[in-house]
Amino acid sequence: MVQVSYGQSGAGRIWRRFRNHKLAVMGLAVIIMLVFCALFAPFIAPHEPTKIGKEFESPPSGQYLLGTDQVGRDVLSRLIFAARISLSVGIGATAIATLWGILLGLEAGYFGGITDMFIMRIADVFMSFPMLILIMVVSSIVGSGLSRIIFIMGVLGWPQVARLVRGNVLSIKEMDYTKSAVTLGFTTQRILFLHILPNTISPILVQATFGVARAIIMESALSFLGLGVNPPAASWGNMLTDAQSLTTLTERPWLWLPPGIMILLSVLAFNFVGDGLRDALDPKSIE
Amino acid sequence: MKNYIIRRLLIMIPILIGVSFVVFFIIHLAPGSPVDLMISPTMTPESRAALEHNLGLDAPLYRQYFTWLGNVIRGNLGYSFTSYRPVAEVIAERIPATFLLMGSAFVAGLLIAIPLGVASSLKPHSLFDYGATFLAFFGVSAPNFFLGLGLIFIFCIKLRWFPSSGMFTLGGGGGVLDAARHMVLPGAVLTINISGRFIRYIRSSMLDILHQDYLRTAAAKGVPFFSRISIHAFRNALLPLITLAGLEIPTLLSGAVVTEQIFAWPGIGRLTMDSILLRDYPVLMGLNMMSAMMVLLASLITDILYGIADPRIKYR
Amino acid sequence: MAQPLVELKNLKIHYPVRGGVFFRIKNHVKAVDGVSLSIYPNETLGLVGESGCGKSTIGRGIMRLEQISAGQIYFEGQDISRYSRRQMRPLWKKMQMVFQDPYSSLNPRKTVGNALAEILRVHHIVPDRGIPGEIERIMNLIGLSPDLKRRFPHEFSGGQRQRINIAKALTMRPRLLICDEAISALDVSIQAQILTLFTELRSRLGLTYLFIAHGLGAVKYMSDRIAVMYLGKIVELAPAQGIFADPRHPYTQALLSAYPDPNPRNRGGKKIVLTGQVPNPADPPPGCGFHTRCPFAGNICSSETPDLKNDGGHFTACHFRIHPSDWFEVKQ
Repeated sequence: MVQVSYGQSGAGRIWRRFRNHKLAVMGLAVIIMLVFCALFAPFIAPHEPTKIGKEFESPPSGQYLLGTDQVGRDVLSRLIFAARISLSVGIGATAIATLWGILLGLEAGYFGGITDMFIMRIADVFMSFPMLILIMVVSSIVGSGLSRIIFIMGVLGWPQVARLVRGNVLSIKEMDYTKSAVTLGFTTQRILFLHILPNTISPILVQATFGVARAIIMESALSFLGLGVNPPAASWGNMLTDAQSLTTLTERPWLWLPPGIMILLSVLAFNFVGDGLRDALDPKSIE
Repeated sequence: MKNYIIRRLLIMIPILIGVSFVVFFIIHLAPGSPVDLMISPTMTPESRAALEHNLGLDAPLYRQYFTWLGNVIRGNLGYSFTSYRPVAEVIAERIPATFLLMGSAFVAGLLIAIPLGVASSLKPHSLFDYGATFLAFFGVSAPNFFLGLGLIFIFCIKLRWFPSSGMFTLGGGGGVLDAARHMVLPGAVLTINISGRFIRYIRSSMLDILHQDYLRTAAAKGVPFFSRISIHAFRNALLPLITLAGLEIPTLLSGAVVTEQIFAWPGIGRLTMDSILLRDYPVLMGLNMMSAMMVLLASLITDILYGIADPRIKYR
Repeated sequence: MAQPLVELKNLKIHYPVRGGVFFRIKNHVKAVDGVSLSIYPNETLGLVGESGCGKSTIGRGIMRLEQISAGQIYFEGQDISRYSRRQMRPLWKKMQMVFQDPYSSLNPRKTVGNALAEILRVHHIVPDRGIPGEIERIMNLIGLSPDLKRRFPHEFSGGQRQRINIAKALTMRPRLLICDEAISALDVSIQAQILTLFTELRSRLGLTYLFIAHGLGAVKYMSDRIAVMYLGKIVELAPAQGIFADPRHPYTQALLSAYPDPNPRNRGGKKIVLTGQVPNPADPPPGCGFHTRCPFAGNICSSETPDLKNDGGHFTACHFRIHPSDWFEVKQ
């Protein structure tokens, strides 16, 4: 969807509209909580997340609120520390993808012609493989690890953003205010970044929020398959890996329910916030 | 229209070559060699070199790529490193299982999403709408491996209604009914995912349309409610749905990989995972080319359908 | 006569039409097809024609927002027809353009003050501490209260927005102002106000105007000379009184007849009604472009393109000498 907003929407008005979306407000609360956990994990977590204790697979108790895992590590502490992984992958990968996407989308849309052809054909190449499979291939071969995952997902994620930006630029470029900026003798850089980009930022922001949700899911799926963040570092995905055994599934739900719920909750939160932002930033929506 | 299709098909060629180039180099630039996974400790360096030579892995990378590309153009995707069977054959025998799973999930997803999406658009901000919205977001947000584990826990372990893995009962008679019983849970996981997206899209495109003047006109003319919704509104809401359906193919394929892994479903998703772990390069290349082709064809068919559904769209 | 500020020599601006599987160039739309024209300092030249005749393309061509296919554009005597954007930048301080659509010509995210300040700052038109004063001066000049400088474009009416557009152009202190249908999107009462503003600015700042419009009504009020365009070519060019008192090209006569006379005593006369469509500019008819719709067309009209002939400072491109009254004799 190409959205060109005519009205300047003040931050106050956006917030007022956002507040109407109850689920989005709840999502925002969850995100704030997650960020808090991630920032202050060492102070909140009751135990060391990688410390191997004496009690294996002990059910929740006063000492281990959510029990311990197969090698005796505290599940709650791992859960809290894993928030760091999920958030850094989600935000890091999306930031890289969005930056690249903005740059290439602006170039493609504004300059058109050969530049556009070239960039968009490369985007087609990137969009033609199922992302997860490609990332699996890359991370299994290049090797997994947090920074690598962020990098790979960031590098592969740009085409969606680039397409969105390009579409918006194409329509804004035809606006008389862009032509007027040209005849006012502004440099191309100034026109691209100070005139065109600010007018296409809302849909980018919405897409980025959904992108964070997608990245969190993808990281957890990779880690679940053993191709993402590897133990002993804790990730919600790799905490679920061991639950594939029948005995864990039936007899030790504290090992697989909490990480699963955390993934679901955080992905839901980002999706709701994205939805709320879309409504709030849409110039057509009524208050 | 004919020109358009021809051009799109022609554009696919450089894209597919681009895809193959990127994937090929990513795979082959990796440190280590697939031979490492095949050799036994007793193997001599000479026989190891012979093995590498047989697999063509000792040639310079660019030459390996052009050999591969040349073979593909002649219709030969190469041979699997692990089973030594033609790649095309290895992939072909896995395709039906995945298509069956994806196809049924796609149809089931639509069957669930259409009534829910339409109904929630008719009464926006009602309790029902909030319920459907929440359900939709749940479907989109639930990671399918967690969903899969949950379903296995409830329906296999607690209720014992459905089997948890494979496509046929081991040693059983097989047959359509057996496969269908095995497909319920993995199918349900994918269905929940897809229908979530579809509900959101149907709802928002219906909402756009319900405000159009021609619907008010239809109401003023006295067109009954049901045909107003089904003929006048829903038909036009179908359009964005078609695009979305096409765009869902890559997502669906990614989802199938994880889902097949959990439920041991013998499709291309599992094949991908296995070839990744065993570094079966030719099979991986074949799988990537196949999925890229599927994605490209799906988007072409989507655009064509879009043109058929909307007479205003002209292709140049 | 003085040296022209702008001179077009046989200017051609053609757009490629692509088609087929490989998007090859199949044909060209001849938006501007051999136009020669001069604009002298301090004059107002009206440029009139139906939509699609190429009049706006000429305006954008002079600003070099279009690629020139052939011919030359001279500005202050220098040939700018092959200039790059970089080379044009200093010249854009001397020529500015007011666009047609007051709604899409202002950046929705910039206040009036910020938009003007940006121009002043980028081009160092006044020292930085002089910027607020200069903004105030310009806003007064175009008739907007400087108190409004913190407002965003959507808070203004169409007429006010067009004033802001003029302000942006004037901030550059240009010699030439190209008004591309600058009033046609406005209400009639507002049109008059903006026209008055243009006339005032002309006498105050000594501006030269290229005033582009699709009807003669809008240009009559302030033009010194008027050029009439049809299908990428100028068909008549004369001082304004000449066009109104003695229109010589049948197309001009038809245009003039369509323009309602404000004097009720002159109403009730017969109207010339043109039939048919403007031919496709990618595939213009041979000879005179107007012959397909001209009731007086003879054999020569479809074979030979008439030159723009001078008759006492009144230029006409027609093989015949048609009088407005001839129209009604032909019909009877």
